[in-house]
Amino acid sequence: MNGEQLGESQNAFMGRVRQALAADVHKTARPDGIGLARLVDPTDDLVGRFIHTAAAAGMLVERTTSALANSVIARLLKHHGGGRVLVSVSSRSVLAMLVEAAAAAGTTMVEPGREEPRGGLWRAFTADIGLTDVVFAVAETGSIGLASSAGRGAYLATPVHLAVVRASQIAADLIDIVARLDELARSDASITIVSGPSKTADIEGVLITGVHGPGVVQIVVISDE
Amino acid sequence: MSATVPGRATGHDVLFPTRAQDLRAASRKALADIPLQQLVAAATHSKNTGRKSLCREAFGDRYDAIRQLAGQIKQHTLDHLDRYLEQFVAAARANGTQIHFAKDGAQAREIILAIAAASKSKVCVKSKSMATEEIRLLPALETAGVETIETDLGEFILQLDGDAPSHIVAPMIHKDRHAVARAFVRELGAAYTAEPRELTMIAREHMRAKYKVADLGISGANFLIAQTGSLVLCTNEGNADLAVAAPRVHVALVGIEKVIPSMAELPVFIKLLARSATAQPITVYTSLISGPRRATETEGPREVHIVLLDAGRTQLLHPSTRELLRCIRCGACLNACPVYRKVGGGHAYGSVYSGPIGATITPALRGLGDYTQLPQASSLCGACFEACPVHIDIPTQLVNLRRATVERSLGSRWERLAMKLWAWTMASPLRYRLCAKVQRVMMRAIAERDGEGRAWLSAAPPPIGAWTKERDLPAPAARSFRHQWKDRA
Repeated sequence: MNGEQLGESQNAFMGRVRQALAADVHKTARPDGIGLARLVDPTDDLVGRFIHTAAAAGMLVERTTSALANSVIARLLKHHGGGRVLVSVSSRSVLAMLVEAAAAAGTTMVEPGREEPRGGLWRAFTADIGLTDVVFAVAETGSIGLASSAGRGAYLATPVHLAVVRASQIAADLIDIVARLDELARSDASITIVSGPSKTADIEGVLITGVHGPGVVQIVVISDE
Repeated sequence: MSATVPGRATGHDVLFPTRAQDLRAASRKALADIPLQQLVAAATHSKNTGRKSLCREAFGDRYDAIRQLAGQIKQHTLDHLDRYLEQFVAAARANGTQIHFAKDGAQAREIILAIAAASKSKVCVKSKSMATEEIRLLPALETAGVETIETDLGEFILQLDGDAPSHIVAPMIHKDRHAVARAFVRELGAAYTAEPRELTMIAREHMRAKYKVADLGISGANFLIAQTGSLVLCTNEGNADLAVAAPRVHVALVGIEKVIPSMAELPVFIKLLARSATAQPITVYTSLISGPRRATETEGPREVHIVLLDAGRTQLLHPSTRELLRCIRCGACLNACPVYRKVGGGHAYGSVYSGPIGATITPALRGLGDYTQLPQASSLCGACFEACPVHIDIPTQLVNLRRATVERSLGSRWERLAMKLWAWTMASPLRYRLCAKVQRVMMRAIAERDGEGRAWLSAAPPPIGAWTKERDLPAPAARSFRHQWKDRA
């Protein structure tokens, strides 16, 4: 199914929309006061705030320096059971460090390798831990941003997700990532803002983590300040 | 438990009849079902109080202003929906997304079945979407031979039981853990356990196997961003993200009212949606999908289709009902509504959308003629208006529908007769005084005095009997206010 448009014609469909709007005497102006919804000031202690909100959202957070990052990541990989590790990064510069840490932890790397014909997340389904960097982080909600150019399975399908965040990547408020989202929406097919472990409360309101995606999200914040 | 319906696949039609069901009969049944009352009360009460405290904590005294801001953004978008839809369609096509237009549910089903057939899809993983419930997509896919699995845990359990969702956000609040355990034993051959964690893990393993082999992923969308042509999916489980990432083909069915102008407006809605729905600052997963996988990407679908759905929405776009299309399906009005809580949740409404918002949009989408009872399912207390993150004046909409019911003579014959009689009485001072006198004398005649000498009615004839069955009514004074006023002068 490529290219062919199904169903009603765009003209007929849009004709009904236009007709419904034709009799309007008043049109609401586009509000410009989005700043009203701001919850975090950019001058706050963003690293401190991010660590606090990420933990409140149910993620595990450790703060370290760039000098120690490697050994901290290796220790955490071991702590979360090691096994098969799938490394996916958006920024090439951290790849070497993550690969080194995975090796130091004695884990097996899941080969990025060739494309699978089904196109699915087959590599991630065989991995025990997804190890990634992030494309942004948000202090307001303790969220981390992941984008599909690095692959999707490492943060969607693995039981444990370990994400490395640099302090400079932490934005104050969701309002402050708008420009970044705009940019990423052009370059990447999918952007996911992750704000905790996969969870459900569908059975009698009892909170259970790890229902589909990672049940454990471990964040390492690298800050040299 | 009486709230669950046995048997597969037929449940959807039983619970979502094409014509309205008798709301009074359904609610009478639900009122007598104690376990159902407890389940629904627990689920709605905690979310309602959680929403209030979390919104106050986050937004402080700006809460109402932010709700109005969100309402204005959506109203602005709807007022210019022609422009924003065209913009969305062009931007989405530029991303490689294929756009289709469906005038009604039947056409939407046809389109999706055609995509499934062309892509030779045999297994489909589906995420929760009210629009797909609205068009009854699941039975259509299964009839066409596409094995389809609901991946939202609640919806998955309902699918096993052939049951329908009873809440927009938390679809199975009417079921307990034992019902889930029985369904898993019966349909999945699992060993019996009523432990929520173990049950969840059984479902996880079952669905993992399906994600691995699925050809087709179906989702709805929480928002469409006109400027970038992106669709936004918000979930806590991460099921939608897997369902759209793992298969070759992704189809999203989206109502045209989901559009917002640009990325700049998205934070306002993200901040309000999860707080209003489940008392969380943000859903665990917020995904922005902008077309199929790019040439350099190794994971993700090769085809992305968006089916834009009308199905009565252009009718709702009429100026008098347009604000209803602002709805972001958070379910806050359901949790806040005393009627929704007492009628045992959504099933009593006999419509896909239940609660206060369902009582307003269902008659507008499906025709008032079949749904005259729905606008009556409210005490007009205003809790829904207060809870709505996009500031929809639901009580006024309900009153408008009640007015339309009367004007179009759709109400019951007895009600019309009573109202005519009432109008006739009230039109003349003499008739009014006479009536009031008869009423006063009769009520005093059957009143009884308590120990302190005050007169009370404790067992009045109908219709006042409905009141005195639960509590006493003070008897009227011996002399009317008009008389006393005259004496005073």
